[in-house]
Amino acid sequence: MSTQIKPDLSDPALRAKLAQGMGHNYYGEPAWPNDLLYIFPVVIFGTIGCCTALAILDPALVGEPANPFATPLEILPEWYLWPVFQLLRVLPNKLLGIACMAGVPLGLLTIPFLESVNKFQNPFRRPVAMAAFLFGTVFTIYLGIGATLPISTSLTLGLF
Amino acid sequence: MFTKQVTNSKTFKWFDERLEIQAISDDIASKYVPPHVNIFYCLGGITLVCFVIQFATGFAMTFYYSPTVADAFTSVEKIMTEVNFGWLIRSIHRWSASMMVLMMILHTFRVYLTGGFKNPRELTWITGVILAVLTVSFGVTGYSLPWDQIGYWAVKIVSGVPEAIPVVGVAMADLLRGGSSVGQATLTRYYSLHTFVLPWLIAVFMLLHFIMIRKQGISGPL
Repeated sequence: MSTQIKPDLSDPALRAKLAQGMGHNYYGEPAWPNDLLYIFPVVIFGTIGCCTALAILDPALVGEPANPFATPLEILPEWYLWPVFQLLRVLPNKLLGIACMAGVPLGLLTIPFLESVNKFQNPFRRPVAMAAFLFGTVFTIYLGIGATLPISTSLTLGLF
Repeated sequence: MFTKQVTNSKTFKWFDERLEIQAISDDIASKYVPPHVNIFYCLGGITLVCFVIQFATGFAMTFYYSPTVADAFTSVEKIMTEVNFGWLIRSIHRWSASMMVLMMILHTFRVYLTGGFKNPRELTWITGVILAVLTVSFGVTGYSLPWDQIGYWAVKIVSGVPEAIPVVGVAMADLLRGGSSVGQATLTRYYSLHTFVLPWLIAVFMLLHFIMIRKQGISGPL
């Protein structure tokens, strides 16, 4: 803590940068060596260690060779594609499904421009954005769970 | 950043005269981490580490994998049973792929919730979305490479998706799978995308992402 430096607000150059939302890397604790030399290796080796541990505990499987004449009974993509897979599966119109799928990255691209109407960063000062975020997250998880269920129960999750 | 013993050494001076490495050192030493930065700011870096793991393990597997319809499955089987630590390399590649996507999603949540994408950082967010699309494309193309039942039927479904697009759909689907049906051409294309096209694209956009972060510094407090 003793190594922390406060922003030098008498410096007009820094003040101008801070006014632009930049220059937040000129106060606080020194990046070298505190972060770059000591914390970065912890994160790097921790990540490698976690991935290796998971790989040893649950190694990848060897499936069956591809057989074009035997359609598998159920087929699921990787977990992160489940919500999109569910969209394609449930929507009656294929084109609508593709449009929704393409809408995910395209919608994300518009976020900084749509949200420029509110300059606040704090989530508690962005109620509309937070409501949309929470709804979107819950809805995506709901779609993802639905993808793992048979199509007859996938929309109700078998609850109703 | 360096000790006096280093900066006074002949080697350091030799390099400094030619490449001004003292300037790089001064640049790094002048950077600080503001107090609002917390553990969640690690998520982007963890995503990068996962990518580096993917790069290293994927590179190792290209030595033994053969991208042909006849040999792909047996070569993967060989990696899993005969090649020294091949099972470990492939398993790490599998897990690290999942973890890269998970960390990327959590990184997006951190950036969104702290408003880090706001003015002046809109372009960093845009390159981030492109990186997300590229990362998922890696997953889609890699999923089919073992040419097992799951991979084969996955590519069959995935490559048929664009067909529903009017006018250009069929041409797009044919371009992606190298013909009107899934076969050797599809595997070749997916392998080329997975090990050549996508790595270069992701390298370019990662570089842009990082240059912009370096230029603007970390986002401010809430």
